[in-house]
Amino acid sequence: MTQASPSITLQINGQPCTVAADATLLQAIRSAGLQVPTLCHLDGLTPVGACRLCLVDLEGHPKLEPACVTTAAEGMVVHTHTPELESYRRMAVELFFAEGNHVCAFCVANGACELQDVAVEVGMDHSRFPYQYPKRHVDASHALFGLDHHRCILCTRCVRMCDEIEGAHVWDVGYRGSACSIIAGLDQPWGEVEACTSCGKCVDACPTGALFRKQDATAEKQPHPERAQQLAEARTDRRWHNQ
Amino acid sequence: MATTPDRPGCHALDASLIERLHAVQQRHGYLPRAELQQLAVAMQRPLSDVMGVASFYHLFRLVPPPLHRCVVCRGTACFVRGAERLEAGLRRRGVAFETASCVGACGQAPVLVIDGTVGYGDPGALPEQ
Repeated sequence: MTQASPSITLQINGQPCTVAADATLLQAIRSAGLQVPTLCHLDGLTPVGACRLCLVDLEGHPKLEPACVTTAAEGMVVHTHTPELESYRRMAVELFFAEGNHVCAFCVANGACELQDVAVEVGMDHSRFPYQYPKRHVDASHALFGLDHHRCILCTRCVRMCDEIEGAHVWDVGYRGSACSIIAGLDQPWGEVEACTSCGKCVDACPTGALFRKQDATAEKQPHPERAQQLAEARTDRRWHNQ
Repeated sequence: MATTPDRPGCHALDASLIERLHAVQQRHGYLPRAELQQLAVAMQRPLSDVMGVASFYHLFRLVPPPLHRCVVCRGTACFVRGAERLEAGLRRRGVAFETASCVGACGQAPVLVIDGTVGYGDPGALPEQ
């Protein structure tokens, strides 16, 4: 966001708020000191609107819109926490849990997991949907890192981190439907993909315990979601984290 | 998945990738790994990007096709007339088959396409489930 760009005024939860004309609704919400849950969004990476947790209600607009990929407009009246939105958000989180095999008790990310945090935030204590218990696998072929597909929520943060920040594009999304998964190279074992620089940024970006460092045991993962923004700023604004 | 929105001509590239995947499949009957690798190099695209597209579409095969091709139709008419039992029967005999959502021959349900020829199973002859 540049300071010079013209600003617009909108209303969020009854509170007037002025932001740059090119700001997204999510940026506007956060600049107003408010919060909506997000999982696929990571500052510094291109927003994709995949997780649907940041859906907001726009007055006079026929459908709910994801705040991360919607541009704020003059005079918009935004509601972030209507009963309808809260129920949908909870449902989305329940579906995340039912779709994969999320067992916090022996997960590397226990206690530092964004999925867990979001579940607490939306008040999800159980899932109304039957657990799918999908048969997925663990890729431990990389020397330093592991990928446990059971814990992957397909937020594509690793895909974007590797493509946009590291520039290696090791990851992508393969297959579809319930078979959809993150793939490395030509759906090869991660350790065999020569394009991987072993930089570990995908591990830093992962919101769950799907990507992890092999040295980390239960509840030992320390994610670094802030690194995408730090690297993006260093590159575009020549402003480094240590300055 | 192209994540950089201002990548030049990204849609045009996507379109030609699919066409070139079709050409490879036409030539080999499936998409051999080495060909995907060559295609990625030729089109200056990451391997995982090419694989992402190739694996997304059911029409693309990533493994060599069996000697004969057998497709079971899973359309509504075929479902009603016992497509599930047909599938179970084939599975029990160890026959490799694919499924289609509808092949447009609902009058002959349950439809079975063998090497491109539409055939049909006699519902009465199908085993009970």
